[in-house]
Amino acid sequence: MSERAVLFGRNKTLVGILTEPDFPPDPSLPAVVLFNGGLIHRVGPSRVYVKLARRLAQMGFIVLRFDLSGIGDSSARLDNLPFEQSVPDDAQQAFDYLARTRGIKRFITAGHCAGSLHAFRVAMQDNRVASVILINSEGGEDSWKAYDRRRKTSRYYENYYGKGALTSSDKWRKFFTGRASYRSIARNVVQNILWNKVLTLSFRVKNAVAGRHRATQYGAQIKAIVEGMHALAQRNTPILIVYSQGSSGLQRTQLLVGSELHELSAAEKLKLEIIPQADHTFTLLASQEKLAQIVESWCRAFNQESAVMSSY
Amino acid sequence: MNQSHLPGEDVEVFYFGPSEKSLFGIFHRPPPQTARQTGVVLCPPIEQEYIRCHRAYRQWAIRLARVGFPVLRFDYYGTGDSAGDDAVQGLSQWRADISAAVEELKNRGRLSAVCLGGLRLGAALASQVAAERRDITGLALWEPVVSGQEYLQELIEWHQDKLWYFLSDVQNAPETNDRPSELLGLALTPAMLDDFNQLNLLSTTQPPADRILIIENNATESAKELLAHFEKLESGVLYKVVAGPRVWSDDPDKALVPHEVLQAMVAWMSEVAE
Repeated sequence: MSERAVLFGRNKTLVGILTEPDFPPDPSLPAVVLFNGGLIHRVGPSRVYVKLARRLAQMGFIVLRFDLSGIGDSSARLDNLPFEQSVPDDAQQAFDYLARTRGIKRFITAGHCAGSLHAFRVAMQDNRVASVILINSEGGEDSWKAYDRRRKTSRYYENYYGKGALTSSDKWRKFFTGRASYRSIARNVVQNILWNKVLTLSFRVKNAVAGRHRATQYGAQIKAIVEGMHALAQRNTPILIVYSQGSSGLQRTQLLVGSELHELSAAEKLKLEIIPQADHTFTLLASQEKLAQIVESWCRAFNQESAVMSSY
Repeated sequence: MNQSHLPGEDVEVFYFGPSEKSLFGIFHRPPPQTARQTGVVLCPPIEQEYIRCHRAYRQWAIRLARVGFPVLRFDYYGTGDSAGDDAVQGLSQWRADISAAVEELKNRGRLSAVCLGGLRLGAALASQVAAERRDITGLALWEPVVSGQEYLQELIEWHQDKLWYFLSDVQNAPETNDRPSELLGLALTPAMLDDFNQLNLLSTTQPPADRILIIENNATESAKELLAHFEKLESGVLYKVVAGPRVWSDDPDKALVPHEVLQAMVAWMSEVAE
């Protein structure tokens, strides 16, 4: 496996790292292109893009992880193109670069969080995309963000008191000698744990009753996503969706496009994988390893397909 | 300069150093008419702090290049885009990487003098390397880690809070004790843990540089102790408190740039180096 730092694109303003196998790559294999997760530069959250790229290169894939214009080390564009147009254009420049310098004809687009949306949109627009990997797609309107924040706050204080304070002799000593902040403890237990639990439960119940059409203000966007999933399935472009266990993004996805997930999974056009003991950014090393194994296993199918093609 | 680049954004990206331990580097070329004889190597912090401050570091480099400094940013072995997995054996590796970056910048820019700048652990490592090399013109220490032991404790608490906040099931998560095997995505070898515990800038016996800037958001006792220690070693030290966002720990999606802090550091470097 080797790594090369590259400046590419029309004005050579896009910065990327090209990871390649040590042996001559099979040009019929798709190259994997990784898109920035939010504003995190090309190493990915907790450096997982670096690890994924290296693992895939060892399997024979060429991998490009790069910074979109204005993110990481890539300069901002001077043409004022809106983001929804500049991302596909940057992706196009990445594909062209790989086609011109490495003879690549097909691509797997992948991304974490906001990067998964880029990967999906680019796949819908470009027939050369052979597969899409969506990792921890989050987002949604403010009500979902508030729901997510409340869940996490409630969980944090539950753990703080349940695993931290309750097992600390120092905290107990303070509690019984009048040196604890009783007001703060009461606020955390009542407001941050209990009240947040009530609010999150009512949000879930409300959404379950309302159904998917009323659970979001973005009906048109959901429609576009559903159409996109079907279009990719028809084009034989399988989708891998990976979520950290218990994430709000997974709940939202299951509520809004659950029936499509089920239908396309049954038709083997889509696979949903859930990683236990993982947070959104894969902080724990074991969760990073699990993610790498899932992605490796998904990409292995292309390796096998390529081996069959080359035997003819 | 390529006309599609704004001043300071004209960069070269490359790997340097031995192939089995190659380091990623990004060289910011100053506009030719402004080029100085002194370059600057920016030493990053590590892991979550490194990811969160990436944008601020890029801006720091761009602003230095705009006033004529050739600048090299780089990633330590086992971090960022550089070679190596998470399990780095000890801090001596990263100190050696800083020295390799200094040599790389000198060769690349045909420079006679180099300043170092660093944030958090990057500042601590830069200070140690400067004290060892004795050829560093100026040293900008931004929110420096003074005690490795205290820093380790901070990381342990951050790691624990992160798991409590984000993980839906913390029952089976690895225990976070005083000698954790991993923190915030960083695998901690026993040697690395020992190095953290032994890191103490107050035990430096050589002045790291003739001119030193210590800059922080809020005045802390540890930075004041460091100031007194460097003064005792007869370094010319300037201590500044400049309010700004805590870019090393803020949400990475905020990607804030601490404008006033960067401006203060660039202005100081412009004064101390040709």
